[in-house]
Amino acid sequence: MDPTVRIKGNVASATPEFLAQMREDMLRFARLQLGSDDEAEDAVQEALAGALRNAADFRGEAALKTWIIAILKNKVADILRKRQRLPLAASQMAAPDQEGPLPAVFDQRGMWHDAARPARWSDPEADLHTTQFLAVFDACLNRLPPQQGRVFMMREVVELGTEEICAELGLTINNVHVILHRARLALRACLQINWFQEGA
Amino acid sequence: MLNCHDATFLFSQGRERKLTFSERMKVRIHTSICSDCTNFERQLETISGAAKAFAAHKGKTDD
Repeated sequence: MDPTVRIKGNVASATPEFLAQMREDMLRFARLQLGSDDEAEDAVQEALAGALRNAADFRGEAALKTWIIAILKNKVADILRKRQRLPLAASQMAAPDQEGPLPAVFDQRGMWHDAARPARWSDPEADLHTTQFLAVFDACLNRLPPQQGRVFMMREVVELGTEEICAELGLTINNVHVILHRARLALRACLQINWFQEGA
Repeated sequence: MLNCHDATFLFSQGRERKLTFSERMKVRIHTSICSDCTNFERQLETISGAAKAFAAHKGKTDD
């Protein structure tokens, strides 16, 4: 969105198109974290209802969206924490290939392949909020094995601790460390090739 | 002596737990001779910021 466009409004006065798009985004986010369509629907519904109850004025749809996503994030964290008090379902137990593959960035001796070496990124903070960058990030995230993407977002966005992620997914602490390492290696490589590299 | 695979694994874990003194020494020695892993360590912070930006903003200009 053009930051110079300022719309004063609240959830009740947002355009239907904006609300529909936001609901889609929220569902995608909640599904990724919860792994269940029903629970994702419920979480989004409750987050939207909470936002309507506490309707505040926002300068622009971007601020409104940031606020509602924050409510949803708390909702998702609540659900995940509540689940940990329940016995783990068999379907949630770790499968042998839970960790997903190690990205092919190291050689046999554990040194970077030449093509995969981390280059310097110039002024990396400048672009993080641009539509173009976020589209590249979205594509890179989607390219991760699903479990890696899920654990990465649980950690970085929902900000769950390692133990909470272990309890939620039936993983060991080492599993989680390995998954996060692999996810970060793969995302870093993807972002370097598609965004930060000269001429990308 | 750590290789780059080991060093990046420790840098990654450093975002979830406090590394031990010995681990911190090992990665410092490694980065003192490896600019690739020095870049990697910095970029972990950027990737974390990107994930947060993505969750907060994604889709709002998808049309």
